Amino acid sequence: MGFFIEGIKSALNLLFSFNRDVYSAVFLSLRVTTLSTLFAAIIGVPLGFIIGLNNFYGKRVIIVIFNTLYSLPTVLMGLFAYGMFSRNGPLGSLGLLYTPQAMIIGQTILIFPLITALTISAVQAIDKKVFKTCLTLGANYLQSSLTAFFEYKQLFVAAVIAGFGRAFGEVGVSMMLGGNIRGYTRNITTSIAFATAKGEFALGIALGLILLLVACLISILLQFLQRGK
Amino acid sequence: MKDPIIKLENLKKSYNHTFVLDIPYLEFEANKLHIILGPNGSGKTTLLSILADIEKIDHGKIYYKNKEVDNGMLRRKITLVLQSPYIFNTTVFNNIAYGLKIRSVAKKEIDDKVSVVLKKLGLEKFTNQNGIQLSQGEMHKVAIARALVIDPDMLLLDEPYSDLDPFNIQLVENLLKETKKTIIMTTQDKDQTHRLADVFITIKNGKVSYV
Ligand SMILES: Nc1ncnc2c1ncn2[C@@H]1O[C@H](COP(=O)(O)OP(=O)(O)O)[C@@H](O)[C@H]1O
Ligand SMILES: [Mg+2]
Repeated sequence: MGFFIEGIKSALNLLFSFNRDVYSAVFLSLRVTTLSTLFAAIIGVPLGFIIGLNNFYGKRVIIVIFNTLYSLPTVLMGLFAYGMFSRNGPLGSLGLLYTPQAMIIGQTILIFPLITALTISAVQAIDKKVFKTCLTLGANYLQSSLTAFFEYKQLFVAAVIAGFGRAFGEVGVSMMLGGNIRGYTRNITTSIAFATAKGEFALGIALGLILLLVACLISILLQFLQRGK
Repeated sequence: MKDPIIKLENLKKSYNHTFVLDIPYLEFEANKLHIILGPNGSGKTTLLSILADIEKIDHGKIYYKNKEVDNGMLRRKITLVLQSPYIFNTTVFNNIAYGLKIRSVAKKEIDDKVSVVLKKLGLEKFTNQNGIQLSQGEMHKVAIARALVIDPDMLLLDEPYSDLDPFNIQLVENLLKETKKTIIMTTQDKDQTHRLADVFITIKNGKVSYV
């Protein structure tokens, strides 16, 4: 027990003395994950909306694929993205491996299936009466869809926040694509892995506390959004 | 009979391979109040949904003012108040203004038109209240107001009285009588039909007859 208490004490010390390693990791995590969530939302929400609203041949297969992708281990997605960006990979010529940009792209690929899948199930939860009402009031198909989207906006925001949560806490993609370079591509999760391997538990615990805080905020937010509908 | 505003020929509609409507011929007259009386499950809602162009038919033809109807053509001319209306999660004002905003009506005109129907239905005090906080009967009145405000050629009402108390039934009846529009209303209540209807149609197991 003493081990943890000592660790938490030094961790708080690091947090309140604005330790550089701690805060550069936090800011990198926030920047990378905010951008990757933004891109994944731009792809995933409209895609999920279109898939969810339309009936077409193979729809179920597509839904199964998205559900599988979003539950894949992050190292597997990391491996796939690494293959794309490595020197001999299809995107190797961009020279992005071991940069924050590569982490952003990797996390985008990691979480857009989750956002898409959650958007599809949100669309399926829309009361059919919303569309009927809009149509009978003279709206066209696009206007009706937009109204339905805004009527259920909490569910779509929740899908995006869940995506943020998955990206913020993942380590596989960040490690393999970022390379864990201090002050450059070392984010919260790769710092924890690295610090722990070196025996610097205080740093690990300090960053762990921040992860915990963010996870709590996200789950409170999701709870709140779920209750709204 | 004069030229009907809308007529149906050889209309058939089925769900899961069972016919729910089978209508060789049916017409509705302009500016008359039609009442369709029928028990639960007789096909009233399905018929109104087809007329409002939100439900497809399997077979048959629909003519509006003697022109054959294409998909989507009638939606700006006909409006339907659903049996249990959906109220948007926004103010009563915005709920009622929806159809006008969709038609890009100017803001000033929207304000004027909405306040007229709010008054007619006695909903002024709810203007800025969220529609989903209202009682069932108030919501139904909002839905009726939302349909009246767009001044449609034809107004369809699916069992509009089920949520209303006698006072509000009277209020809505008076409004309907004074609009002089083509109205088609469904009901399960035989008494209503006699005091209100110009044309009286019964439906049973998807088959209609005039009385
Ligand atoms: N979407 C649907 N899918 C399958 N069956 C339906 C659907 N809508 C209505 N029905 C069936 O069609 C018949 C007529 O229904 P409806 O038009 O709602 O009757 P009413 O409004 O007169 O009560 C009923 O037997 C009902 O179960
Ligand atoms: Mg019905």
